Amino acid sequence: MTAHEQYRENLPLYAVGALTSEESQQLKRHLAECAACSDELLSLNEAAAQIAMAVEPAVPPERLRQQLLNRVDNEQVGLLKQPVDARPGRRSRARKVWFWTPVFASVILAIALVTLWRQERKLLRLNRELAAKLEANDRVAQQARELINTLTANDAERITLVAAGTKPQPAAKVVYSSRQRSLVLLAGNLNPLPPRKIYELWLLPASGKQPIPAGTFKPDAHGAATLVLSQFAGGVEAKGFAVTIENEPGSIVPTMPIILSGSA
Amino acid sequence: MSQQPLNDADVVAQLRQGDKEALVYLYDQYSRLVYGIALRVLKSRAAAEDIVQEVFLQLWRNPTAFDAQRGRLAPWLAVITRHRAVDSLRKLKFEVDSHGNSPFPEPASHNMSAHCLADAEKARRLMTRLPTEQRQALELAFLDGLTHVEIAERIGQPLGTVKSRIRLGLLFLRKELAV
Repeated sequence: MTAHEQYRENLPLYAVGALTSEESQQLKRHLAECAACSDELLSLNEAAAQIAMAVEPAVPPERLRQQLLNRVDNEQVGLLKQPVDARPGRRSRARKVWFWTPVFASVILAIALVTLWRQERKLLRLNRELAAKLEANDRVAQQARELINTLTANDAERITLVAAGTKPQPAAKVVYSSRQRSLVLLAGNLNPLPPRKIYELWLLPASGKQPIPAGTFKPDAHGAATLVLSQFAGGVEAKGFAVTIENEPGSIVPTMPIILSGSA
Repeated sequence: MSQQPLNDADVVAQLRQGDKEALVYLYDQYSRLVYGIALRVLKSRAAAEDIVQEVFLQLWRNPTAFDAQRGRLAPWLAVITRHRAVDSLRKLKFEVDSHGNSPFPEPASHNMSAHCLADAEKARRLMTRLPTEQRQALELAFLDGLTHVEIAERIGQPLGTVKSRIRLGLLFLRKELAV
């Protein structure tokens, strides 16, 4: 028996669904290629329908009819909804929306670009102003550094001018700003210090309270000394300054006698 | 819809135009046939009702699937119903009617349309003319969804015998239909 004959033998079983799944698949592949077997199957299917037709009919529940019609109505409502969404006006509106979308996007982009451009210009202006301020500050700082360097240089010469014919006396000049919290002392003609001793400057508060230590210094070989302090004794108003000799490294309470003193 | 009896082709043509009354007409004509087959296969009223709805909804959604030039609507619906019911039978481990009622209601052949009734009567006559063992093999395959292997096990006969009974039975039906 050829393969075709074997398949043809199985056609009645296929028509009534009696083949196994694997046999059915094989036969389906054959039917796709064999017109004769396909025609044979059509007539066998008609015969198989008689088996079902012979089944005793039965009355379905009355409600089943209404349920079916309800489902059909629901499907019709669903179908009617589709054309509503697909009405020309809707499509036109949809097309309009899609048409305007890139326009809106372009406008928003342009606004964003202008805003960014303005912000950039503002930042550039601020940058230029800051650069100018920094440059000015640098100039001031440079001048200050130069001044301080001059005051504190090792080779700086401090010359006290007195009346002609007068023997030079120990003297000191203090420049103090309570607001700037800075202090500069220039001293000259100071006597040499004993070992382990140091000159100490005292701020005498205007409030009459205890003197405040304002720094220590030692004179050079010429009796000159310079003291520069910043961030000193913030906000304390001075009525005068005094200099004493203290044990190194300095004291918190002045020791008599007062070597130099002066009032603001 | 006209109350006059219509042929299948006319009704299905109206169905294609979305005429719901055409569907009502077809339901009234063929729902007993469809329900009877579904009930015979599934042996459950609830499951059979589902099949009835599926079959008529399929007809409503796709009336062009039926070609009036290739046959009558009743056998077409019968085969469609059988396929759906057997598919359902094979997919589901289905429980017998929990109410203990007989799954088979009163016969309803007196409510069927004349030509459907005639088709069914002819089919029954053919089936009764089959040798019992051939009819049994055909029904076990077509209505109970069994393969020839399962039928052989069920009735305790060799595979070759089962195949032969199915083959001979179906060829007899085809021969008698052509007469």
